[in-house]
Amino acid sequence: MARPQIFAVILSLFLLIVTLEAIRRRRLKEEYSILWILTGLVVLVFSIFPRLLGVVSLLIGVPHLPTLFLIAFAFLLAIALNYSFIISKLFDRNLELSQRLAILEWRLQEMRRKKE
Amino acid sequence: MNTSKKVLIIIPSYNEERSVGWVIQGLNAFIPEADIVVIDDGSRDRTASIAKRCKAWVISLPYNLGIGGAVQTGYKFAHTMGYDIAIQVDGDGQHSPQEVRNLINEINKGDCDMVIGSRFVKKSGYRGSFPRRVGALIFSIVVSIICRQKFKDTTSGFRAVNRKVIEFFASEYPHDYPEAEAIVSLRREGFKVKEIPTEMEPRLAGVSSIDFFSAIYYMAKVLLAVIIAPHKKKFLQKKENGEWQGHKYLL
Repeated sequence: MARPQIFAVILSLFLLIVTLEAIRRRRLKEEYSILWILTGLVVLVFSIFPRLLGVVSLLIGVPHLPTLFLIAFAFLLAIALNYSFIISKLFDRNLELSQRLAILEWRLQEMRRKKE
Repeated sequence: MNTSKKVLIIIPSYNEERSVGWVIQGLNAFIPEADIVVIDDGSRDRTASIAKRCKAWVISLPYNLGIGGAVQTGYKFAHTMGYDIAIQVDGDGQHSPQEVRNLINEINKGDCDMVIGSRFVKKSGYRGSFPRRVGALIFSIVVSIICRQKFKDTTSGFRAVNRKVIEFFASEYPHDYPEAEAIVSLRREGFKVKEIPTEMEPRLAGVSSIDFFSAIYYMAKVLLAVIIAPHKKKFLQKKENGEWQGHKYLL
């Protein structure tokens, strides 16, 4: 195994272990971990079987090793994008909640005031 | 004029202790029949207590939502409480209470769903700083082209809306720098929007919420939002019984 290849294997294993460990410790929800795990697995497979990498490299016309990192990069891009979607949704829900909370608080105070 | 209509004045305010009291008193004097609600957007000063002392209702948000979120809270409140007309007035005192009556009259005529009190339509003596006017001009041109209707002051936060728009805004209102985008989204949903000239006072206190770097973000955000808005999925769908129904959560 060439050195960059070893590095890639270690990196992807590290990613997989960190992700799985985070789920185990309830730091990461399963639904948010899928893309990370997929990324780790794909990088791992490609670094163990460089011939596969050769196929992809031929397809996109760049040398082998950068291809590996390109693949990893593409996955990271997907993850980042996916997070932006999630954050947007959370933002909307958070906004809705705080608005409803503020209005409810007001109505509660108003009810108490009228009772007195 | 139908005097039994329930009118709500919404004052979004963030750290405006020096002006909010005057604004409320002015509105009480000129529009006595309206209810006033101050949306305290996480102020760290005495905005809320001063507003309460002036007998306005105060809804305090748990943290600073930004102008869009604060204004929308007002519309949600108006919707839940069944108001017929809602008017947005800035807490810094630049919208004069006398002009509110003109906005109400315009809505009562019934030929538009939202009326904007504009600083740039003829009679007004208002002039902003130079970059401000350039920015405003660009928005005005872009929004006018997209809406196929001339708008001179797209960033004015001085507006009155009818019941239909209250309902719409309660479930869908833009977040950062929402004014221009709100016009486009209303037009997109088929609402009628009108602009009338109003006198503006120089602001009583505080500075414009827009500094240099936010100004760049401001331009980019508003232009992007305004250009995308007409292509967004339509929010309202007409139900079979003729009522409008939002496809997302409605209050």
